[in-house]
Amino acid sequence: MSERAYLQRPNWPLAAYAAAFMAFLYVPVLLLPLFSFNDGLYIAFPIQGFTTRWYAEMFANTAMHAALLNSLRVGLVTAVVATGLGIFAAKAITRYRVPGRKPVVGVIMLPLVVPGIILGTALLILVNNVGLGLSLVSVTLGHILICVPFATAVLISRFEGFDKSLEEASADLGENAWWTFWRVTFPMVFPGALSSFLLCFIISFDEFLIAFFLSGTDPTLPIFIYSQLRFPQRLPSTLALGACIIMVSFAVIAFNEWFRRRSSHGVSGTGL
Amino acid sequence: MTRDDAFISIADVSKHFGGVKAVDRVSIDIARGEFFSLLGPSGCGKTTLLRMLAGFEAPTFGEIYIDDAPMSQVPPHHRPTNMVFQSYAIFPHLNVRANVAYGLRKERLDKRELARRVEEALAMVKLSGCEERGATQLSGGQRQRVALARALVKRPKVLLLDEPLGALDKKLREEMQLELRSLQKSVGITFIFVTHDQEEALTMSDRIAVMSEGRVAQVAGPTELYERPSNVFVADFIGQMNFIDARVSGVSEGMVTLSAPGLGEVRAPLNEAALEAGSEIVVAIRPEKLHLATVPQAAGRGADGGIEGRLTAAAYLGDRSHYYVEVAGRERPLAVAAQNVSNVAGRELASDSKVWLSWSEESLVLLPPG
Repeated sequence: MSERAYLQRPNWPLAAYAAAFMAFLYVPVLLLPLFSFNDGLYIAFPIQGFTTRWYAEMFANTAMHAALLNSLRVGLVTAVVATGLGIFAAKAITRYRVPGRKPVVGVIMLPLVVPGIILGTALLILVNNVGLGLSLVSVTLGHILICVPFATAVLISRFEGFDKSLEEASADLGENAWWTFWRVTFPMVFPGALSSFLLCFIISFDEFLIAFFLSGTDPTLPIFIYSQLRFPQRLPSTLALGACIIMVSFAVIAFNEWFRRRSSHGVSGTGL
Repeated sequence: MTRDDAFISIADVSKHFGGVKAVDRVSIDIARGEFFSLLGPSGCGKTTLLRMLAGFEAPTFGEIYIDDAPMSQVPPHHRPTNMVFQSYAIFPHLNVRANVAYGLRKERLDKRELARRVEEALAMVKLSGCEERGATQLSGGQRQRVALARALVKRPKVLLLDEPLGALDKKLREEMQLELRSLQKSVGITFIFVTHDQEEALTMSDRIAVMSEGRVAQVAGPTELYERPSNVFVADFIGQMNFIDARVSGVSEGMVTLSAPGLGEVRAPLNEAALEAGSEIVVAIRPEKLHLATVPQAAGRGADGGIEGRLTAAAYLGDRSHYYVEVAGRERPLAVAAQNVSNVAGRELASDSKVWLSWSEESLVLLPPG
C-alpha cells in the first residue's frame, strides 16, 4: 500500500498524455530556433550544419529594423491607450450602478467575436471615408479597438478582486476622487494594468489581418515577414527574427507571472 | 435632550433603495462625546444610517446635522467624520505607517511632526513599534487597531464604527470592547457604533437606538432598554423575555391588576403602556427574574407559594442553567434562568419534576400589544 495521498499517486498514462500535450504545443514553435541555426537555405530535415549567419543577416537588414520599430511603436501606443480605456471601463462596470450595464459590457466585448477580416474591411472603408488615410495611425486605432475588450476583461477581474470599501476609506480620510484614484485605485489595479499592457502589446505586435488592411507604406513586422515569404533566400533570417521574438515573449510572460505572484497582496484577483 | 444641545441631529431621515425603505423617517439626537450604538438585526437599516452619516449614501428625505451644519451637500472627504469599516479596509499596498498617515497628506506636516502624529495614534491603540509592518502581515486584531489609529489620527469630531468587532474571536472581542470604551472616554470623541450584538451594545454604550425594519424602536440607555423596554420588539431583541397576553382588570396607586393566563391574577407597576380596565396588554418577565424552587415558596408573589409548574427541559450552560416550565393555562413553557451557585445546582433537577415559580411584582413589565 502506497503511503502517498490519493491524489499524489503516480499515474503514468496521465504523465505520458501531459508530455504529448506539451510536445503538441511547443515542438512547432521550437522548430523556428532550430532552423534559424541551420546552415542551409531550405527549411527541411536533415539539418545541414550550424551557422549564425542568418542572425548576422537579420541584424544587417534595415528594412526589417524599420518594420520592427513600427511594430514596437504601434504596440506601445496600443497597449497604453487600450489599458487606460480598460481601467475606466472596468471601474465604471464594477463600481457604479451604470444604467444598462450588461448591454454596455456586451458592446465593449463585441470586437472579440467579430472576425478580424470583417473588422479589417470595415475599418478600411471607414478610414478611407473619413479621409484619415492608411498609416501606422490607422493601424494603431484598429489595434486599440481589438485590444480594449482584452484589457477590460483583465481589469474587471482585478477590480472585482479588491474591496470597494478601500476607495470609500480613502474618501473618508479626506481624499477626493482624483487622489483616491492615484493613491488607492491605481496601485491596487497596477498588476492587472501591467498584465493588460503586456497582453495588448503582444496582441498588437503579432496582429496581421487588421494591419494588412490598414497599413500604408510602413509595414508592421507581421506584414513585413509575410512579404519576405515570397523570397526563399530571405526566409532563414526571418526565422532568426522569429526565434528572437519567441525568447523575448517568454521573458515577458515569465516576468508578468513573477510580478503577479509577488504583488497579489492577498487580493483575490487573477491579473490575467 | 432637546434639539438645541444635540451635536449630531438626524432629522426625519429616510433612505429608499428602489421601493425598499432601508431607513424610514428616523430622528435621533446625539450629544457631544456620547458613545452611541445603533443596534438591530441585519437589514434593519443601521449600516445604511451610518453610511449616510459618513456621506457614502445620500438621504432620500430629511437632513443630517453635525455640529449644526447640514451635511447633505458635503461629500465624504469634507465631513468631520471618520469611519472604521467592517472589513477594516486597510490599504494592502501600504505599510502600517503609511496607512495611518494616509489621511494627513493635506495637513502638509513636516516629517518630524508627521512621525509624531503617527506614533501618537499607534500608541493610542497599543500598536507602537509596528510602523514598518506590511498590511498583509497583520492579524485580525492588529488590522482593527490600524483602522482605528488611521481614523483617530485625523482627530475627527465623530468616529463611525461599522461592526468593527464582528470578525474577532470572543475573548479578543471582549478585550477590545473594554479598550474601545476607555479609548472613547480618553479622547472624548463622539462614537457612533453599529452592531447586531446586543451584549456588545449594552456593555459599551451610553445610549442605544434599537432599530427594526428601517425604523427606531427605542432610544435609551442600556439599563432602561433592558429593564424597561417600551415595546415587544425591543424586549424580545434585547436578551430573552417571556411574553404573556393579558387583560387589565384594574388600575390603582401606581399598580395595575391583570389577569394573565398561566400566571393568574397578577399585579405589575403602571407605565405608559397600561390603559383602563378591560384593555388588552402584554406582560413581560425576564427568565432570570422568575425564581424556581422545588418546594412551594412563601416569598414572592403574595402568600400562595408561587405558581405550580412542570419542568419540561433543562439546559446546563456552566455558570447558569436554563429551564423550561409548563404552567396551567399557557401553551408555551416559561423560560427560567438561574445562576449555578453551588457545584450541584442546576444539574439535579430531572425533567417532568414538579416546580414552583415566583417573582416580585416590580419585575413585570407592561407592553402595548405587538
